[in-house]
Amino acid sequence: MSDVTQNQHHTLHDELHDHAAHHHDHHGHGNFWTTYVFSTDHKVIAKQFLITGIIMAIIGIGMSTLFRLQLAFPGQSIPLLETLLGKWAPDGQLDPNFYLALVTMHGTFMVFFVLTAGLSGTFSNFLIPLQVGARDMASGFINMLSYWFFFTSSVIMVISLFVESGPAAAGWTIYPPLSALPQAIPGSGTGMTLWLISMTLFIASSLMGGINYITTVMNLRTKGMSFDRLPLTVWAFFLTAIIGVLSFPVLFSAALLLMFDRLLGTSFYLSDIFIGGEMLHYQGGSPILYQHLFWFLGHPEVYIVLLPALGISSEVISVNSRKPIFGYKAMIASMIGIAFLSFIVWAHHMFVTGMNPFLGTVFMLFTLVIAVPSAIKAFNYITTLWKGNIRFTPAMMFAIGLVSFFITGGITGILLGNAAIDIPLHDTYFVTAHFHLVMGSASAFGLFAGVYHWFPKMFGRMMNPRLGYIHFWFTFLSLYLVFFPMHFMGLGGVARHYYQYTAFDFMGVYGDLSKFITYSAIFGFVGQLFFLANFFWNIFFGKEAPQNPWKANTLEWTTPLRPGHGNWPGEIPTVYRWPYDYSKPGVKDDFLPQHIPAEEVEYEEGFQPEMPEIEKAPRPQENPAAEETEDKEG
Amino acid sequence: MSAYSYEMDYRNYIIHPLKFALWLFILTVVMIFGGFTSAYIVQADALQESQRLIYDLPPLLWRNLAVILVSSVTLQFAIYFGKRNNRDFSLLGLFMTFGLGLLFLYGQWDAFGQLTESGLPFVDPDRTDNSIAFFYVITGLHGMHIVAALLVVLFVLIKTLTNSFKPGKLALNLELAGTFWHFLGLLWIYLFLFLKFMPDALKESI
Ligand code: HEM
Ligand SMILES: [Cu+2]
Repeated sequence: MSDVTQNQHHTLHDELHDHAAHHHDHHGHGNFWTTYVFSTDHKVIAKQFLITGIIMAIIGIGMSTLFRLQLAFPGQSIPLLETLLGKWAPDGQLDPNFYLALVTMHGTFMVFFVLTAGLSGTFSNFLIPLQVGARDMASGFINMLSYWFFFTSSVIMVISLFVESGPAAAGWTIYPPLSALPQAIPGSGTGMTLWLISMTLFIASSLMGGINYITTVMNLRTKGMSFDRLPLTVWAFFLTAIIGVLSFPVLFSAALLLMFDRLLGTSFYLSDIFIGGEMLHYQGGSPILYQHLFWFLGHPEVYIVLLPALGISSEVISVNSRKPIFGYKAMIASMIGIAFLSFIVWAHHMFVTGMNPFLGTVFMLFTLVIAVPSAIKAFNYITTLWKGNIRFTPAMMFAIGLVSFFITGGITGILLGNAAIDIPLHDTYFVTAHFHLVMGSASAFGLFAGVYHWFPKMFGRMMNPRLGYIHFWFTFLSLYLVFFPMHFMGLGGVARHYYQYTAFDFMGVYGDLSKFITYSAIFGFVGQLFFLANFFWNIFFGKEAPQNPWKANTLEWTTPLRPGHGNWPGEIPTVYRWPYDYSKPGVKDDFLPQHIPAEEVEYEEGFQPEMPEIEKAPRPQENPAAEETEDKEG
Repeated sequence: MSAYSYEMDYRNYIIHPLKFALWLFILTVVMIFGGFTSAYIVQADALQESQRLIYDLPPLLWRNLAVILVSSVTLQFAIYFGKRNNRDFSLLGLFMTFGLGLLFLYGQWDAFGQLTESGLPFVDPDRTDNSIAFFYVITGLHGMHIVAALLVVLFVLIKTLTNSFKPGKLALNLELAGTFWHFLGLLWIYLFLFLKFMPDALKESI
């Protein structure tokens, strides 16, 4: 990141074009603050999201180690805990309230701060402008704000870990009445207020990000980059942003009402409550209303977490199979289908709230329909791999791992989607197993695949593949060893979020399995050290990367090794083809980048291309009317 | 890290990216209020007849509705003349819009006061019907958006007053302000009619 080569400044201001709002590089002089801290360059902002996300992941995963120790060794004294946590683990035994707080904060950190902001924030920011051929996001300034809102919300969430009464403890879904009544548990005091403030900033951040991503994809594509030539990564980020823009505002509505219940004494979510034998004054509210509002965001949110990972793996799998992605249009259609359906299935999280069985059946039907586009995607990944010329790079390993987790976890989703099966399994470890595999593991693998694949473009250096493989096997094995057994515990009726389930005989029999899970988890955490070392060391000391290390077709690899703000020193390349021309018969190389026009394709000797038929000249860009209809289709 | 000198190539768009982004922002606002009005219906619909509150909203709200509608006309006036480089008329329109906006906010605040005095405050532990509390939340949050929009109008006003818009930027900024303002007006029509007539509609549906 150190090559301060060019510092050309403002060209002549061409007022004639000013209806189009010029954008000059304001920060050409590369002062430390404007280059690395308050940068408006999407590539720098992406790295800021990534590194903040990694820090939040270390904290979030660390918290899960602590509560896994409690689950494996209930009632035993672990002096290390007291050293680490002080008053929260007197005599080396985790405080029950703090156990709940740890579970809550682990979920919050991982779902929102790591897999939402860390994943979309990093890769939508980094790849959208580079892959659609834009100089930057539509508004670099709002993009910068988006990061700083996220940063502030992360800081507040971390601070909430240290308040006197402990952090929020009502689960990552913060259901009232527990979350609404400070007198209910210590975690519903200051910690909960901070949680709500932090999440409000988080929502603002993700809306600013999402609006920018959508606008950039719609309006700033380079010449020839029609919607049917967009890489699937961009399609995924685009749809993710749309889902976010539609669903996060509703979480804000939910949180605002909760805030009023907590701070002013309204009764939106509260009614007929006794605490310690004393009747509280709340009347007329309904905690179920909160669940509806929450899950209207909450279910789309799980796809906000997953879709970017699916997009990344489409790209990585195609590049490393040296084959066109199988069913490009079907992939897009399934993602659109998933995005749409994700808004009408939220009540499958609420089958046990006493909802009208007819209503439950409707939601069950929609839920099961989601399995169709999901299965199409899984099928297309596998057929892309089929007879491919596979290169097992670390990114590829993680992308294939994603497909595995997506299938394993998706199948249990279909089971849970049936109200009759879900009612006994709700809030057991079966659900924990389901969503950690399909959401946690699959998305984390997408994130890792993305980091290994685009690291050379981010930092101009290579990561060490051997450490990458070690990291892969540690992670892959440990995730299965941790989460697969949880299915059996769930089927046996072991409830989630219990401080000491061994106190119940029928659950206690799973004590040994629980120990096994905790050991596997620790094995997995150790594996992450290989990643951290590999990542941070090679930012500074890695081998210099070639310009296009994976021989990929997409536009980001046409930029200089360490592109400056503005991405391309000269003109932005024009696009002549879709991004998946790998191993095209007769073509000399096994890849054909998007910016190579038909005339310049190099063929094998003796091969006679039927030129005019196959490759048409660029779409009629000069004709703005044609462009217009295209955009409307999108 | 180096920086290239470049100009955003906006030739390919059909709508200016900032306008497009504004529409997306409007969509988020729609979702927020969609959430509230749905929540309102869900809760009010679950009430028994005896739990339902019978009340009238202050008639002052009709005046506020008129004020915000007129303010849209004055802003459109400012946009029309601003685009034709008639700075004085444009400023007049902007000033009137700003004044009417403040009047609207004051009127809403007044309505809060009247409602509270008539025995319907935001928080009342004896009430089983949340529709009044929703009235405060919805109206208040709409008011916050009006505050934001007034800041936008003020920004355009000051920039026009000091002639500090870059060429071509004036029209864009006026249009952005106009879209946002008109939207908030329309939103208020919906919210007001909803809050005014929904209680009766729900009662009849039983
Ligand atoms: C085949 C598609 C899927 C179906 C039919 C499905 C169905 C379900 C059902 C019915 C539940 C509720 C279980 C309960 O609480 O009793 C659930 C929970 C959950 N699912 Fe899925 N799911 C599917 C895919 C996914 C995907 C792709 C993700 C994320 C990427 C995901 C993430 C979650 C999460 C996070 C929860 C638990 C939330 C909580 O209670 O804390 N699911 N799923
Ligand atoms: Cu769901």
